[in-house]
Amino acid sequence: MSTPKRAAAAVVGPIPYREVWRGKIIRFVALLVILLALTILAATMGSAAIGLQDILAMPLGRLADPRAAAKIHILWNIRLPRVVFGLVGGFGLAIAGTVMQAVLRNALASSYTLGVSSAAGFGAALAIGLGLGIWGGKFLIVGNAFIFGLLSMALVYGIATLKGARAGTLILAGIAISYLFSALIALVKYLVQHDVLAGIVFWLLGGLHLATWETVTLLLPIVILPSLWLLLKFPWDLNALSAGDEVATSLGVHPERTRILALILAALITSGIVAFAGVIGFICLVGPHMARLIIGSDHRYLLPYAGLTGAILLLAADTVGRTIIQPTELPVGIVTALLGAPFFLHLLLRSQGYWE
Amino acid sequence: MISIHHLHFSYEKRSVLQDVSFTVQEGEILSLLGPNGSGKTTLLRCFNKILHPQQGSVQVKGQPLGLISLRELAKLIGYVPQQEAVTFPYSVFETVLMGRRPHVGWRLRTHDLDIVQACLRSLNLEHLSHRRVTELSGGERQRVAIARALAQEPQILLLDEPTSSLDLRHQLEVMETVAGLVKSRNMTAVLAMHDLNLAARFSDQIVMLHHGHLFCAGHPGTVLTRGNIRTVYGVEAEIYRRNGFFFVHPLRCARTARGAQTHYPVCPAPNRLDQVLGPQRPQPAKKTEE
Repeated sequence: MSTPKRAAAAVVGPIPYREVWRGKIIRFVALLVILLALTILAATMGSAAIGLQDILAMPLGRLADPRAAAKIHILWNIRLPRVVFGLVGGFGLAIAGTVMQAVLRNALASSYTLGVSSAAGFGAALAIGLGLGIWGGKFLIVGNAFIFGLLSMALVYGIATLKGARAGTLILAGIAISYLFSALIALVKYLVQHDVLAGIVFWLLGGLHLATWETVTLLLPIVILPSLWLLLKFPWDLNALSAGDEVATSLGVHPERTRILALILAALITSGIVAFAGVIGFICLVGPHMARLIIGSDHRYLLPYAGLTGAILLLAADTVGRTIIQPTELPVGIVTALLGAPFFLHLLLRSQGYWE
Repeated sequence: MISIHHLHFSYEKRSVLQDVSFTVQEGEILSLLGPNGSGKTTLLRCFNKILHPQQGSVQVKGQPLGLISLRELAKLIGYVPQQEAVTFPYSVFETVLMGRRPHVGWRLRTHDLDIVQACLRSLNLEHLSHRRVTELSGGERQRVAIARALAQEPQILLLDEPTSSLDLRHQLEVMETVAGLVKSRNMTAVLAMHDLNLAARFSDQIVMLHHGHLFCAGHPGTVLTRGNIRTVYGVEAEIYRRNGFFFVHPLRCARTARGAQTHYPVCPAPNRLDQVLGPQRPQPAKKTEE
C-alpha cells in the first residue's frame, strides 16, 4: 500500500486543501468570538442595570451587599437561563434546518416543511384553548406541543413507509400535514374566547420567556443528544445524499434509511424547542443558508457552523426583543424575521453562484 | 468480474428487463446499447444495489450482491449518473472528496487528500478545484462526477451515458480516460451509451438491449450490423470498417414504425449472434464495406 501512497504524494506536491481548511478554522474562531461577546452583552443588557464588573465580581461572592445579591439573583436566575436557552434553542433549530434541507434536497425545507411546527402549534393551542393535554399541570402546553410535534413526524414516517422515503414524497406529505394542522389551529382559534385567543396568538409568535433553569435542563438533552449524533455520524452521509439517492447508494449510504433517521432526530430537536419557545420559523430556514454562504456546503463544517450561527441569531434576536422597547418585550419570532431577513438578503445579493 | 443471470426487473407492473444474462470480464469495457427506454440505465443500476431486481442474480467477483454490504460495494464499484442533482453549492474538491466516504470515518488522512488531488488531476480539473459545482458547465460537472467515482478507488466503473452532455473533445477525453484506467489499472467498466461510434471504438464487448430483452451481445463488429440497428433503433445505417474499428453511419429512419417492431423475432439468448444477423425482412440489397 505504501508505494501508490508515495507516488501520489510525489506527484501532487503542496495541497491547497490545507489553506481552505485554515480559512474554515479562522471563520470558526471568528464566530466563536462573536458568540462569546454576544453572550456577555446579552447578560448585561436588560431592565436591571448589570455591568460587566458585576458579572466578573459574581464568583467572588459579595453576598453581604443586598443590592449585589439582587443583581446576582437577576443575573443567575432570570437572565442566564434565558441566554443559555437562546443559545441552545438557536443551535438546535439551525442544525435541524440544515439536516432537513440536506436530506430533502430542498433549500426551502424547514420545520414547517414537515409539519412539525404546525403540529406543535396545534398541540399548544389545544392545551391553551381547551385545556386538553397529555400531561396536566405546569407542562400541559409544553408536553402537548412536544407530543404533537413528534406525532407529525410519525405521520410523515408512516406515509414514507407506504410510499417510499423519496425526498419529493416526504416534502409533499409534510406540506399536506402542515396545512392540516394549520387548519386545526385556525379551528381552535375560531372556537375559543377572546382572552384565550390572545394567549394562543402570543404562544404562536414564539418567545423565550419560559426559560428557567428547570426548562433549560429539560431542553438540553432533547437538543444536545440528537445534535451530537447528527454532528458526529451524519456529515458524510448528508454530503452524499445532496448528490442524489443513486449517487448516495453508490457511495455506500442507504438513502431512505438515512433520510428517515436524520429527519426523526431533526424533528425531535425541533419539537423540543418549539414546545418551550413557540414557533420560531426563521432560524431553521435561514440559519443554514447563512452558514453555507460563509463556510461552504461540506456538512462536516456546515453542521457545527450552522448551529453556532443559529445560536447567535436567536440570542441576538431575543436580546433585542426584550430590550428595545423596555419594559415590554417583542416576541422573538418577529425580531428574528425583521432583523434576519435584510441581513440574509444582503448576503444573498453579495454572493455569486450560490443559487443556480 | 460481474455476471448476471436471468435478471428480471419491473417497476410496479411495467416490466423493464426480462431474462437478461451476460458476463463482464476483468479488464474489459462493456457498452450497453439500445434506444431510450430499452432498460440500459435500469440494468446499470441493478449492478450496485440502487435497484433490486425481482428475479435473477447479480454476482460481483463471484459473490452474490446480497452478501456484499453497501459500504463494501462502494469500495468495489464507482457509479457516474447520467445527470446529477445539484442542490447545494459544493466546491469541486468537496464533491470529489465525497468519493472517499466508503473509506473514511469523520477525519481524513493525507492519503485521502492525495487521492482526491490525483483524481482531479487525471480529469484535468485541478484549476477548478475550488470553484462551486453550480458554476460549472455540463461537461465539467460530468468530469467531476467521474473524478468522484475514481476517488472511491473502485475496481469497476459504471457510467450512465458519460458522453451525452459533452462536446466532441471532452467526449473523447472521457472515453480515453476511462479506457486508459481500465487498461492501466486492470479495471472493468460498464457504460450505457447512446453514441454507437464511441461504443464501437472503445468497447471490448457490446450488449444490445431491445425492449428489455438482451437482443445480442459480443464484439462490436458482430453486434453493430445493419440488421440489428434497423431492428433495435428503427434506423437504416451503413457500417464501415477502417483500421480495425467499426463506424456506423445512420442514413434515415426505417420505414416501419418503432412501435411495430415488437413482432420482429428477437433473440434473448446471449452470444448467439448468428440467429439475429442480417436483415429481418427482404430489403433491396445494399453494399456495405463490412
